[in-house]
Amino acid sequence: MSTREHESVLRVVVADDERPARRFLIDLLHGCDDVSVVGEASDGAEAVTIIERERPDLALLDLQMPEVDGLEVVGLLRRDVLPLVAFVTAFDAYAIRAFELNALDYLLKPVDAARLRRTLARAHERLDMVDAKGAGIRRAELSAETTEAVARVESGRADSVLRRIPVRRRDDVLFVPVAQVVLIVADGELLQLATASGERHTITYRLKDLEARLPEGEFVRLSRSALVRTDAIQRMSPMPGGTYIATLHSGQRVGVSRIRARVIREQMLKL
Amino acid sequence: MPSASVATLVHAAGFLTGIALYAMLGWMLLRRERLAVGAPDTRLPLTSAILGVVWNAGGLLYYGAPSLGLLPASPVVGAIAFSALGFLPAAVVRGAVRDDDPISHRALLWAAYGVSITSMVLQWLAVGRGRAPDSASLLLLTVGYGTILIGLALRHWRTPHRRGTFATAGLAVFAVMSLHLSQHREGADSVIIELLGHQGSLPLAVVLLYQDFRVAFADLFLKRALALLAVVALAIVLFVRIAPEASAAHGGIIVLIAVALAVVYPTLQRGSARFVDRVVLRRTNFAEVRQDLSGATQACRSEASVVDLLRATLQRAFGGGHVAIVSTSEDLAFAADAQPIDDRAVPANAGARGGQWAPAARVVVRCLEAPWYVVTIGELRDGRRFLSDDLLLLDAAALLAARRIDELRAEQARFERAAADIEARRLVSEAELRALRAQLDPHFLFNSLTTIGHLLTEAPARARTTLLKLTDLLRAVLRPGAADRVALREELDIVTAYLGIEQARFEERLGFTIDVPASLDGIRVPPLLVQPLVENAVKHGIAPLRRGGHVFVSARLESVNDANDQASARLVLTVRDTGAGFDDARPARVGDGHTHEAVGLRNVQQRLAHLFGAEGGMAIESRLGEGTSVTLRIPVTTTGRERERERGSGDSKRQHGEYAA
Repeated sequence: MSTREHESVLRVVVADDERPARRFLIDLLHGCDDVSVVGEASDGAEAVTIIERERPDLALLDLQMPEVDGLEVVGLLRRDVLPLVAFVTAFDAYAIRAFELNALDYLLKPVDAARLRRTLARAHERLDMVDAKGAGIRRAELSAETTEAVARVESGRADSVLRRIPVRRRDDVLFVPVAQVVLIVADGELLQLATASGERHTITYRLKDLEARLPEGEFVRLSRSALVRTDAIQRMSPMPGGTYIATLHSGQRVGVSRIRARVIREQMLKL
Repeated sequence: MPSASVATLVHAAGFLTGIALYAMLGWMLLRRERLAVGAPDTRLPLTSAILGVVWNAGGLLYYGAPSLGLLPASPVVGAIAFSALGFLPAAVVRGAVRDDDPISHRALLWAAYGVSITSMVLQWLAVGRGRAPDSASLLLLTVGYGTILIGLALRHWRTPHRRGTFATAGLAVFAVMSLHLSQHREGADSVIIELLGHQGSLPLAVVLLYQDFRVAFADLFLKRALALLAVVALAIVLFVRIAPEASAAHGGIIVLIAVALAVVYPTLQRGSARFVDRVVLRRTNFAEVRQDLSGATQACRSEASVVDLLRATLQRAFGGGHVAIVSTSEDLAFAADAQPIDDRAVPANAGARGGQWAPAARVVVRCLEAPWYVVTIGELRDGRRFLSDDLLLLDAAALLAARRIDELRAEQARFERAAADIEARRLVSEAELRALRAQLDPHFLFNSLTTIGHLLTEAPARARTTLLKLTDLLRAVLRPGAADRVALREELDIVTAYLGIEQARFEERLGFTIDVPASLDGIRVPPLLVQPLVENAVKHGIAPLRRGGHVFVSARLESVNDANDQASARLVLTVRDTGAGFDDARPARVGDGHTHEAVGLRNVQQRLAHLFGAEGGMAIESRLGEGTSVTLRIPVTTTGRERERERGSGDSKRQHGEYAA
């Protein structure tokens, strides 16, 4: 369901953990033309499930929700089902600034009906543009734009240092403590996480953005595509050409790029 | 003739010593300024010194040179020498009689001059007759000065500080008398008589030096002079005893004696030095006094104790005499060093405290700032004068005291500054407190408005009650010039309003219980102390959880025994939630990614510290996934009557929050 079934109706999902706030917004949406509320979620994980099931055109995500917040919802969604998003917040001076800088739409609580209509109109407009050009490509572009913008907002947050990473496991959201992660490898648009106990997870995130949010000093970049927990490295074996192979305690082997090898020599291999 | 040799030896040694002593006296008088010893008139002692040198030089030429066969005894030299000797007692009597003495006493001086002049005339007449020295002249000196001495004795014996002068005069007269006696015993070549007769001016010189330049004299000269005299005496005794029997080996004996004397000389010098310090000067070890004082002042914790210490130390150092210390605001920061006081210039009762005593020396404790202290020392034992080392000690002691007083004052100033700082900080913190009070989480405010907005359509009645709760809360937070303390009941009403609003927002996810006995309602507490804790519990404990949680607010009294074992009551306020909690080891963050800045908690803690210091306390317990409990302890400030009144008006204050759909 990658394109709208009904040209004039905007399919919307609302996610807010506070029922009164959610109802308030839904009541407003009911008062608007060309809008159909296809789902309401009371937390971030539920929002992910509903969005993937309903494939809405627009998701109104409360910024502050228990466990998985609005920004994290975007990170957990598969790219192909990522709708247009607008974040809803009562008061978050930093986030609002970041949204503006990154061209993300947002609404302030209590939500003003006129302001909400502008958001809906904007969504209509963008989707009309997608429909005008071949849907598939444009939609992917929009998704990529949104994902990157959200990642930028997240990496700039005061509390941006991650303690646990939400990952998808079928319909569930698992929280992997960062402390258990030993290896992060970029694989195209996805990141593969490996934990000390050998579990593997895949998340949609950029390595650069994730690196910025990891606790400082705990991870070391071994190459363009690999971040390794410093404590997890057991051995560094020199290779021809001045590079290394790092062997982790878990047995995994990771190549060190030539550029990083110099830094590693300077910083890690000396007492 | 051994005895003749001995007499020659005595003459030579005696006169040479005399020249040395009087020359030293003269030299010291000439550089008196630099010694800074304030006896007013140097002319008289200087005259004595010149007369002494003339007498001893003349005596050496007249007696010594002929005995050694160098020169014939010249009557003119003898007359000059004896004239000088005749004037020596006159100079001393001049010193004993003062300008302001009554005319009857000054007659003694004129009599002395008369005797000396007559004696001189007789001597020179005798030269004309070729028979000098003249016996009649010497007889006149003896009788004349004997009489004058009796007059002086009658006048001065009762005046302690003039006893020294009298003794000097007596000694001078004795010198002349003994000389006269020796003249009448010519032929009896007793060493003792020769010594007494011709060297009577030596002790006089010693006394004069001792009186005016005691320290310098004793240190520079007396120690060496005594050692030298001892060596000379030893040499004479050895020579007299050994030389006659061993004349054959005369040269060898002299060499042996010389070697023996060289060996014992250091011992003699040490002995004489000790004798001078202990017996002659009877001096307190000033170096020790200074060291003790320096240590003791550091132990003083107040200005008064420094002053007391200074007084006690000076009293001990100067043989238990009078010491007065008076503080003054007259600017004495640049006062002169210690000075002896000329008793004619100072009123007799300048010593002020402890009766009448004449001040003898003064020193100023030169602190950096007022008040300064003026230390006045009474007369020393035996009418001893203040000498340079006494004055140095006074200066050193005053300086030590001044430095310590300055230190103590600086400490005091620092302490006062610190106290002022604390006060200033308290004022600032009160301003901050007001600022803190005015803060209401805007997030909460907008969320509340959203909730009310929703209720307007769904349940207008609940919208109205929620709106009124929000109004109450805003009023409490924004109340201008808020009271220092409010009744616990008022604070709990605000907490209830807050929790009611949050409950409307979170619905079934938030439950709360306020469990406070009505008897505590009247206790006065700082406003908005509990509310931030509750807000914190909701924001960081309940909101991050899908399942929500419960908030418990409770209060009780506990009695504590303070340091003085006095029982007092403390109010214990507990805000507990069953929310997210946090890891105690990492309290700054909550596991779900929400930062747990705990600004509210920190503010409450700061306010407790500002308001109650050590009497107040806050304890936080938290466990990840189980919740957080914050306990405040504050001293109870309510009066019994207040409590009674509050109890009378209070109904059951137990409330349970419940959610009504």
